[in-house]
Amino acid sequence: MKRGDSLTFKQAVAQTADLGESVWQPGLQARGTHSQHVQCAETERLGGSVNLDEALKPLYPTEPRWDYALGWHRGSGEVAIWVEVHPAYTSEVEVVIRKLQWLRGWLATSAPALDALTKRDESPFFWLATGGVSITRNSPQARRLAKSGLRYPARVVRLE
Amino acid sequence: MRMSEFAIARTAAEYMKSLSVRQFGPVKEGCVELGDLTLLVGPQATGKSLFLQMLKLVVDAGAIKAELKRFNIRWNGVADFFELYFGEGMSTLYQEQETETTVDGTKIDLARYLNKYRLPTEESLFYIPAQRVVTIRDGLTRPFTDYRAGDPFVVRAFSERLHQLVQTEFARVDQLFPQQGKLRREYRQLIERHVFGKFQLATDVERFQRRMVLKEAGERVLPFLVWSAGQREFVPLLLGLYWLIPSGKVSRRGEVEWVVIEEPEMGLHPKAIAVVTLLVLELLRRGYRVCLSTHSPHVLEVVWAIKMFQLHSGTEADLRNLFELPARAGMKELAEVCLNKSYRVYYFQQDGTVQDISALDPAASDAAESGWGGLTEFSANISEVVSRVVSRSVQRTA
Repeated sequence: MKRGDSLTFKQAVAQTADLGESVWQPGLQARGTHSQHVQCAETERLGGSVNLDEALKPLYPTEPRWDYALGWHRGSGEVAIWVEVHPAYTSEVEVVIRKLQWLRGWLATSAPALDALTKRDESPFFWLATGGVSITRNSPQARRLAKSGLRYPARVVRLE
Repeated sequence: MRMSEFAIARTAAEYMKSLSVRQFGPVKEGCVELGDLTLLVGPQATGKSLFLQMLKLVVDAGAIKAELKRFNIRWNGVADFFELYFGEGMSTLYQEQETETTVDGTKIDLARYLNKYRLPTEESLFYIPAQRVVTIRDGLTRPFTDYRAGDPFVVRAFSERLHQLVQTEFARVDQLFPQQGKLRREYRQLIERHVFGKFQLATDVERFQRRMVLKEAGERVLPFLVWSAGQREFVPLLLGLYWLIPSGKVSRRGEVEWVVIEEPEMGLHPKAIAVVTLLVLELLRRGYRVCLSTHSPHVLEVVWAIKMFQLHSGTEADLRNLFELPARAGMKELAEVCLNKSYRVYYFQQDGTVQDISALDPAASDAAESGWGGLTEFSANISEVVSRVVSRSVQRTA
């Protein structure tokens, strides 16, 4: 297998047995109606997207699956960015953290090529809030998120 | 058509919707739309207190002048008056050609306004200043004349009210708190639990004046200087609320329409801050319009929660749940009334501008709004940095 750091996002998706090249879509197409909530100044840096939730549903129907993966060109190569679209209530914090834990486990065991692209970014996991955010920034739940390594929910993900 | 000074004063006292200032102290330009509850936030020395004092001046110019004259104090011109009203060294706040004050879109000529002979002389705005702790010395209230002429008027006037209350209205009362008929039972219980503990606020007589002390079950007596810092801050605030909330069926005091409280959270534990915030809601229930300055995210959290309830069909029970209030008729009424009030929040910034952050959206793209005027910015940054560190560590070890 080729080393992950020499792969593009599209190649890493193709090399992942649970996914395959057919689930990869150019730009933000996989994100459908949610694509408007991802903003980037240079769209040519986008390396495509995958509707992870749909793609993994047949294999892991009852697992807390993450929603989307994006490829983003940064520096000398592409990184994998992971976006979960979810209501941002305090009661959902633990739900999203369980999803993150499952995603990390899946990347480590079943998607090493994507895992390698993920590790190129310091903080590649985003919670995209549907509707308003009902978690205050100095709440225990905000700290619980930080402790899990997840950023505060945003209504827009900005890729830089 | 030009409004008369008298009409402006009446408008300000009764139904003012907005107050704007330009080139006034540190404020270059600020327009505040006044809600039923208006909160001002921002770093020190950005003009929050000056703005609130200007609000008092616009609403109560006639009453302020009458009070100063009652104590035989005279002045000559706006600069002189500013030294008396805002305090020593404050005449420079007013720049004749540049300082502008506007009420509901009508610009006020301050010099003309302050010189006007006939303005309403009833007090319409009750002001509880940040320096309230100085209004009690050794447990004794201090009259207006106990201060220097260069001390801010709002401090002297508040002190005078407390003095009247304790030395006259409560002259025959040995126990100031808890006191039957003063504040609702639910509030008294919360104040006991979160501020006074097992102590009562009582009076004894020293040199013919009533002195306030804390008493433990009628035995041990604690004089003023051994009270906790929070208790020393809270007692003047409590007495101010006694002034505003008369006993019996009277809803409000005299002609007072407006209440300003500077930093109600001063010296208090978050649970006591919640009690004070609840008392502010009680003022709203009574029909007062209230303006606060605050450095407490807890106060903003309550406002944020109520605004979220308004947006998402929250009920009176939800509002009561914020404070764990029982489903008694009075508490239900309080919650219902407060759900229908308007709430505004303004951020006084270091560059001299004032920003409307009333939406208080914690996910707003504008950092001033999401960080609640800097009040949660530090916490948010801490969470952001910690999340990055944890994520980096997990990425390395996974």
